[in-house]
Amino acid sequence: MSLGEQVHTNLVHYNLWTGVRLHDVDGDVTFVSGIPPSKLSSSDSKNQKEWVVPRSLIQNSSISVSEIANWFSAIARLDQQRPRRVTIGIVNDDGTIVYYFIHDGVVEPRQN
Amino acid sequence: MSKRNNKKLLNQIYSRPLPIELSSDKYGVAMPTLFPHNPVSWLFYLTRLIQVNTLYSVPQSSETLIDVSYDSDGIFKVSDEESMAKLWRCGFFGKGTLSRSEPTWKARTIKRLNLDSNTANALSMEEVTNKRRDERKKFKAERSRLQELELKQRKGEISDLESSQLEQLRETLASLRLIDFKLSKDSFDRETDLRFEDLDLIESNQLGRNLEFLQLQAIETFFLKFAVNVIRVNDFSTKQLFLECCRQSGILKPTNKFVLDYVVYHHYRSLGWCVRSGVKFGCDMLLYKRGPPFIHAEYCILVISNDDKARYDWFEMAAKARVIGTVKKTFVLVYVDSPTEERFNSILSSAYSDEGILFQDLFKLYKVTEILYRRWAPSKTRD
Repeated sequence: MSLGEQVHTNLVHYNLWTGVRLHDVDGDVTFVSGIPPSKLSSSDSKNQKEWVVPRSLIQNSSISVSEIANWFSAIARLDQQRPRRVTIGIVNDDGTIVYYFIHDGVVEPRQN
Repeated sequence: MSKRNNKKLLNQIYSRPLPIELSSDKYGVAMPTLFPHNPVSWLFYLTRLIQVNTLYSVPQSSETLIDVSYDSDGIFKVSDEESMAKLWRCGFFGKGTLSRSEPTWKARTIKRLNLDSNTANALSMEEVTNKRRDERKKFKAERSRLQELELKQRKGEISDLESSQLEQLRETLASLRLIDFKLSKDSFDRETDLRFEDLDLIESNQLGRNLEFLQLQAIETFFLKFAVNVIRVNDFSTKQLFLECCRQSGILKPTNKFVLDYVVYHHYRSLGWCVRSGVKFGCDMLLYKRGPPFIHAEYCILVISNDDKARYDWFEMAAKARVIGTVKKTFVLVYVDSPTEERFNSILSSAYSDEGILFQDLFKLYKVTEILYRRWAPSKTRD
C-alpha cells in the first residue's frame, strides 16, 4: 500500500468520508480529496470538499514553506480554485495517521 | 458494569504481558520455596527442577510462529485474526490500521451497517469518543447561540422574545455544565447511513472481508523476533530483519534512528513497561504501566542520540514540553550513548553461529540515561 492508499483507506473506512479520490500530480505528490461526514471546523459555513496531503513521518520528516506553497498552487490547478486550507496527513510507522490543518494565510483562532 | 468487575475482566483478558506461554501457567506447576539455611529444601527444589524439566515439555517450543508479512511498502502486517488478537492481548503489540489501537474495525462496521442484529452491545473506545464529541458539539452550538443573544443585549437590539430565550439558554447551559458525561447503551441510536463506499463491503447481507490488519512498528517487529522469538517475517533471519529495519530509517550506522529507538524500546520492555508510539504527542514513545485499557500513559519518551547533527533545539524542546505538560504526562529525555562506527561494524560483520548472541553483543555497546524534564512556573507551584 502506498502512502496515498493508506490515507485513502483511513479516510474512507475509519473517518467515514465519502467520494474520496486520489490525484497524482506529475508523479511527484499525491493529493487526496473527499467529503467528510460533517464540517471539520466550527468556523466553516458548511461541509465542503477537503484536500489532504499524505506524508511519511519516518522517510521525510521535514517540509519547507515553498513545498507547502506548491501544494496550494497544484490544487488550484486541479480544482480551478485555490483552497482556503489543506490538511496534512502524517503517516507513522505504526499505521497511525495524524491530521493537521495548514491554512492559506492568517485565520481567526477558534473558541475551544 | 461495576468498576471492580470491569477490572477483574480486564485482568482476565490481559493476563499475559508477553505472547509467550510459561510452564507454570500451562501445567499449573510451581517451584517450591527455597530456604538458604535449610539443605532439605535445596534437595526438594532440585528434584522438582529436574522433574519439571524432564516430565513437561516447554510449552513455547510447540507454539507455532505468528506470520508477519513484509512488502515493498515497508509495512509489517499481521492479517490473521487470531494472531492479531493474540499480539494485542499479550503485551499490546501493533495497532489496528482502522482503529485507534485494538483492531475493532470489523465489529464496529458490522454494528454500524446493522449486519448482525445480535452483536453484543459493548461499546468500543472509538464509539465512546464519538459520543463525547457529539455532546460537546451540541453544547458549543447552544453556547454560540447564547453569545449571539448576549451581544444583541449589549447593543440594546434585543426583543422581548429573545431575552426570555436568553434566560432559558443560560439555564440549559448551566445544567449542561453540571451533567457528567454518562454512557448508556440506548443513547446510541445507530442509524445506518449507507454510503456508496459501504456497498462494496457487503456480500449477501454480511461483511464481505476484513479490511483491517494489525500493523507492527519496526521496533515491535524486531523485539518479537529477536527478544521473544514468536514471529516469522517472510523468511528473514534476525540479521536480515535488522538490516531491513535500519534501511527504512536511513543509512546503517551506530546512531541509526531504528537502532537507537530499539535500544530504548527494549530497555523499557525488559523493565516491564508497555511501550507504544508517541506520535500523537510529538514524542517517540509512551510508557504505560500495564497497557492502554488499564490506565493512561504516564511518561512521554524522547530519544536523543549523541550524534551532534541530530540534536533538538530549545524551541522544539519547549514546544514538546508544553504539549506533554497539558496532557498531564511526564516528559523523559532518554540519552543513548552509542559505540564508534568501527566497533559497531566489527560486531555486525564478524561471524557468529547464533545471531541472537551477535545482537546481544551489539546492544551491550549502548548505554541509556534518563532525565526528567519539567516546565516550572514558580508562582503556580508555591504551597
